[in-house]
Amino acid sequence: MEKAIILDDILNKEINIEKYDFVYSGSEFCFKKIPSPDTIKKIKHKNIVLMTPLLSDNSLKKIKKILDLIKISEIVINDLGLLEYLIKKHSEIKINIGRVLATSLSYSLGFGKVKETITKHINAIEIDNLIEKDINLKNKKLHFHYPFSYLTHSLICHFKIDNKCNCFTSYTKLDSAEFSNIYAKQNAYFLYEKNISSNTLIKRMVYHWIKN
Amino acid sequence: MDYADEIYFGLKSVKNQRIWYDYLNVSNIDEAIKIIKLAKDKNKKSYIAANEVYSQREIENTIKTIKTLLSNGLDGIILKDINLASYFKNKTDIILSTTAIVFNASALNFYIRNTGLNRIVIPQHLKPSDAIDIMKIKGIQYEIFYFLDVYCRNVAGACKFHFFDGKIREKSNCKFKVNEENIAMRPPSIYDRAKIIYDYNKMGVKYIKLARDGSTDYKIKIIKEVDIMLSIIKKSSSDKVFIQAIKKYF
Repeated sequence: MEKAIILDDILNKEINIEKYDFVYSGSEFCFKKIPSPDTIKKIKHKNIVLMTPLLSDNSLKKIKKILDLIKISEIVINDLGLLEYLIKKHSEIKINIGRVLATSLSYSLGFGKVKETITKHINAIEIDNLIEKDINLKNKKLHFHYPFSYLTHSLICHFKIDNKCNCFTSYTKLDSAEFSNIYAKQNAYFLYEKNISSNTLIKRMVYHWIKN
Repeated sequence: MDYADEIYFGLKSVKNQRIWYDYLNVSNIDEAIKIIKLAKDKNKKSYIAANEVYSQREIENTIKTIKTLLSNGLDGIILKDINLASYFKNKTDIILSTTAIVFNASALNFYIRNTGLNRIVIPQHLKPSDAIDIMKIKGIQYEIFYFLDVYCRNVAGACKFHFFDGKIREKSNCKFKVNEENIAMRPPSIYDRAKIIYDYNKMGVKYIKLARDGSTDYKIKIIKEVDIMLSIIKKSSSDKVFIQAIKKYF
């Protein structure tokens, strides 16, 4: 089983990235967290996976620039416009469907036109406890995100103050009379769950770092 | 129906984005056919919202139901599922739902090729300034929601708040606090939302849609409100003049 860590901050000395086979950089949810080419270059690891969110045309241009400047071997996509670009221009890059896109496409990935136009180009699907039950593919690798499952995200950032992001940089527990396990980070919400699926298609564990 | 140009509905037996709420869906196919016939009598168009994705088992029934409705005069489908669209491509009007989460021109081109869509409902979180390239694509009609009435904080089409633990809740399901402070994602002010409608109108959006929520009386009130807003847009010489007028009326 491969092991990966999500690296939000390359200066975070508490994470020993050498312990992991893969390092994930970027964000599945926020286009403001797309790292610059220089930031990616500073990550001293041989297997970097670039995470990307839903993209406006301007954000898509930023990703194209990164891909033109840096050799990326694996990418997590949450936007079909980027998939189009990768198929045409960067067929050497391994494409993983991210959790936003996996949530959106869900069962449809397994058959018909979606299988023919999307799934056949895919290396793996990034899943978590919540997404797993909606993905039923027999021949695709799964990468299991742990311990936070994606619930939703907003693109209207209420944390924005004076035009600057002021969102939670680390997983922050939310007060709720009903739930004891909802967290927010950046512009997304998550469910915290300790269960690890026993699905044999899971080939990689993607760990989310939690501040002590 | 006299107040609108088109009508859309959800049907309980066809999964859609508001399937959790009984009161937002027509209960059976006979009711749906009555709505379609009524629309036809009044020379209006009717559409079904089938804007979720379907498993292989679900899609057969969904196709069967929609075919029945089309044979009774339904004008088209609001959808996101490429598998469903590929069946109905070139057979009826296809409107791409906001739930397809299309945020750039390449993604829209992908859907155009694979679904044969005629119209897209622009996602509410896509700012007009970010939609310029999308709206350069010819041969497509553009639609937005009436944002003053409805504005969800989260990305429609990739949100599990309604069903992740199997319990159906009303709107409170996405409000949380941290240290007593409410952190629910705040939507833009109504003036900012009015400005979004103004900008999209000027960019060539032809359709404005009301969400299914609310009683008939409420809907009529909102449609009248939309009419007032559109007439203010028409008469406004600039966005500043428009916002001033909106502040007066709303």
